[in-house]
Amino acid sequence: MRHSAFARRATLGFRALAAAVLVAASALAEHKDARLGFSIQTPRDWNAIPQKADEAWLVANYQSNKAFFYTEKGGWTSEHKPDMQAIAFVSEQVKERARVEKKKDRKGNDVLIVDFVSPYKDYKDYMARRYSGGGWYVDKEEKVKVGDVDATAIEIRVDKLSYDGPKRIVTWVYHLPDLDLAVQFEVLQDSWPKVQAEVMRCFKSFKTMPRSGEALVREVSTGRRLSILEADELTPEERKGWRQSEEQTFHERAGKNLPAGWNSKKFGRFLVVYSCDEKFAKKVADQAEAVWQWLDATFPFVGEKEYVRAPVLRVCKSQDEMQQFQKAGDWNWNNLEIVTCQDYGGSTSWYLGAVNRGVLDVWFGDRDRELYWAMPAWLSGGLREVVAQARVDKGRIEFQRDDWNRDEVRTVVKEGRAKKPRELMMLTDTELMSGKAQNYWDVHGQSQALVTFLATGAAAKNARTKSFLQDYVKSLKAVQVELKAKQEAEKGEKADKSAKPATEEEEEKLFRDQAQGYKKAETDVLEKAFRRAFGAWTDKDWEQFENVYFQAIG
Amino acid sequence: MLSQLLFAAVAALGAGDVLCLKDGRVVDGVPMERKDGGIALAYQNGTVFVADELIQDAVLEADAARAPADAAEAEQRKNGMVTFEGRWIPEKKRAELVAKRLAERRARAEEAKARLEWRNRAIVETKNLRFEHQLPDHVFAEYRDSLEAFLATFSRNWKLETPKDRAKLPVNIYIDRRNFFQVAGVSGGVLAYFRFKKPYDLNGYHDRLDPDYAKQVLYHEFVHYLEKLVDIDFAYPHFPNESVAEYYGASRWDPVARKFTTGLLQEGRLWEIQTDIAGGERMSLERLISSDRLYEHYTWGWSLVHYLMNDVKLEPKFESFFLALSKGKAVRRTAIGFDNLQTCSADEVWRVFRQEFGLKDAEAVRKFEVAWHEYVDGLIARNTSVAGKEKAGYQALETGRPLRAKRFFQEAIDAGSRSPRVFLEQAGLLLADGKAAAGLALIDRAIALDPLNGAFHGRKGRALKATGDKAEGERLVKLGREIGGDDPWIEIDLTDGDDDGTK
Repeated sequence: MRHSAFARRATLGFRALAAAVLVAASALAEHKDARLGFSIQTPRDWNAIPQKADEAWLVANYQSNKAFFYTEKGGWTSEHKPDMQAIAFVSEQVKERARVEKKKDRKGNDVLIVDFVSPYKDYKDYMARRYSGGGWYVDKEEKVKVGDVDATAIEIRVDKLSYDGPKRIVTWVYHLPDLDLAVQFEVLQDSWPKVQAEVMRCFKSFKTMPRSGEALVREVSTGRRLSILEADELTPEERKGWRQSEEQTFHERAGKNLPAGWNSKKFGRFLVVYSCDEKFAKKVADQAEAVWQWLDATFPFVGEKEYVRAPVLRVCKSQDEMQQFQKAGDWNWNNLEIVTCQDYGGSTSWYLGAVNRGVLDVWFGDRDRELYWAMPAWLSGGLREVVAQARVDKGRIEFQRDDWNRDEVRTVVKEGRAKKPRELMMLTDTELMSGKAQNYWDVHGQSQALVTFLATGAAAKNARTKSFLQDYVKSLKAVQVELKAKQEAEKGEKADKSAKPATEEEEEKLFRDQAQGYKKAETDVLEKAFRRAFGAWTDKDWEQFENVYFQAIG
Repeated sequence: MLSQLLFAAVAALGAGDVLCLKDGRVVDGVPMERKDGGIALAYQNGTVFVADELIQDAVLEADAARAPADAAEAEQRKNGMVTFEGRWIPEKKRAELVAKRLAERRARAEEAKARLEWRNRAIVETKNLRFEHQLPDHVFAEYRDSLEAFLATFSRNWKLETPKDRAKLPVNIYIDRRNFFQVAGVSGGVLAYFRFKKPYDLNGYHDRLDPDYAKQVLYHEFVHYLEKLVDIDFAYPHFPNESVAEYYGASRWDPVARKFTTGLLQEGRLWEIQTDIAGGERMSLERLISSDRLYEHYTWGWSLVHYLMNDVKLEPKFESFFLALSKGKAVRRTAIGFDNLQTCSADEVWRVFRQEFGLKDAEAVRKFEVAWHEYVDGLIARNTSVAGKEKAGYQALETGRPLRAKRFFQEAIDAGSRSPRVFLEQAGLLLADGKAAAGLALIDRAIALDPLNGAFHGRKGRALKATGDKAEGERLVKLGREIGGDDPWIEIDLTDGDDDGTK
């Protein structure tokens, strides 16, 4: 078909106009914050990342959809997606860097709480204390102006030990009344020329707007009068009330102000906040519920009266998005979120396994944290690996076989490095961490094999051994309770006798006794728990058990 | 009129006094005044005196307007003559000379201050090394000379040569720990590092409160590069790698005699070994050598290398063992997976060690171990230098033995220690014992040695508040914050009797 020259020019002109519109439109997405009173354009097609439920200072978080690559000379190729973050530094809080509260605990003792409301003085302080993407330094700094707003333009180079390759961080810090707002872009050094124009356009699009009137400082600990450690001092009933309130507050916060592309929905006890497809979000919730119920059924005696807070399950649509989300915020004891992503790994997905481990941590943490922390390496490590293999199949929990572990342990057995279960169960953490790396991984693999055997394997189906794991855990708890009572009694005695050494000789003796005593204490706990649980077993019983065990794993 | 010309010349340079300390710091923005024996800095919360012995240079505006020293000078000044370096010259000429000198010194001070930003670092190439650093020139000189001397000494001792086509090793030295963490990209307990994957890179920092130790740490890391002269494609396993690095880390450069001495005592490591022994633990030879990544490779491992390198019969065997790991034909090596690097397993290291030293059975191993342990006991008994006592004190304090710590700190002080940290730690111990006057006196001595360390003033302030002098204590805490420092605890003022002044 032929066209007139005019028609061709008009078509070309239209196409050019459409292209110009598309190019211009790529910077037209906008971020608005009524609380702080500003708007800024963000590159279109960059994903908005939600904030953590207890986020205090990060007010915007975006990530490019497009990845760039860096290849180290003679080495590997890394991938990096540029990102944009906005961090607020509220000036009145800078003056009050720490708020110190004096309270009374339940016994009437003075307790000092130091609450960092504003831990960062300014942007460079924030970088110095938070940035972990490599060694960095300020390459350039100059004063700029955007409309009426003064700003400082900072260019940072990330060179030494930089993850994913040398990077450039470009930040404009806008100086507003009562507030400094740092808008930061992080890109690969090599790809900076490709994104520079768009980044600069975003910087220059910054505008102030009337504030909504909401407080500039978001109280980090709203409704949270206690930390989980303080909550240990409450009665189970009081603790239940506190935990229920915590859970509700956390769920409300997590589900609020979600950016486009994110949703939240209650699936049973869990609030799931997700950017993946809803079907996968439900799958994660179903799996978490199955692990929860398995723990309820397998260890019902652990912290029977304790209420377990249901965590928020946050499911990102990709690993990149998940990593970008996890860049923000600070760790704190009261965090109640399990973060994962849709990695399309199917039944062998590492990230689904990580959800299960998260549920295990939350469940044991709230039912009996002291017991959980006291578990020896074979049990804690083994349990984490076994739980990680749980999947839901036709509404029922199934524990998958870990082929990698099976092959690894077979090699260990074949090469004569395998330990008998009795030996494994008597290994202290000190012994485990003080030798060869291979020993550590050998033990870790065998621990998984042993707990699998006990919890879901042949031992779980045998009348004699089906409660092996539970018997051991009950014994460990009983020993822990006895030890605690003994220590409380001795504390009182020592306070009376004023046990501080008076001479260097006494001091050296105390030092030696403590050094040896710690090791002895570790061994004692394991020996007592073992004897209490299996005191009635004879050597023959153990031989029989071990034969079946080695047949199962070999 | 007397010095208006000079004053004008100085004023034209850019207002403000500036002080350059010998430890590399540059202070400005605070009014300063020359006093007998030093300079007084007038902060908002108090005056701080800095003794001449700590000062590298100072450029004060008031230098221009000095009163006549005596009547003879007053008479000369009436004729328009002023004194300058022992002779009388016209005032205008002196103004020009002084202005020129002040400008040069101020420029040096400005350059030193500018270097605190890594982008303004100095870059210096020597015969084998390429330095990038933030240090003032007079501090840098010793690093520059000592590392080149170290390379020459190691090459001579091990009969090695630097290949002509080998690129110069980048050596990055930061002005302090904060800069090191930030720019070199590390954190926590890292004191220095050598990037053993290409491109090679050595990074460390200058510790102004313990410059000798800072250099020893850099020497340790430098050894990992020197091992590349043995075999560029071999990554030495943790033992003997770290143990040999500790051995050579204990080295000293004498800038006057221009001599580099290696294999000295690692006093701090010896005290860590003593702590293990006090706790009932002695390291077995087999466990030491056949374990991966053991922390004790830095302590007991160092002592083993020291034992072997100081025995006429054993030294050649150790050298043979060390070289055999990378070059021995019968040694089993495995690829690491990058840069064409190979290494050995710890089990293989143990096999080669026994072979080289003829340890054919358990009895031979036991005898060897006994001899080594006896050597270590001898070293501990000899660890009586001032530095040794200081480190014994730190080790005792860190391991919960305050009585022992107090004794060693006092012995170090009595033997002439000039470490402000030692005075401060001892002060803390005395204050905890209720000996306020003695403790405060020691804090004053720490301040005299490092008067521009805000943390010290803060500590004194908190101690005073705890002993009842709240007003003065608060003033000093504010002074400490104003001066600033390396101690994050000065940002937090624990008051109202909660603080007993020990931290």
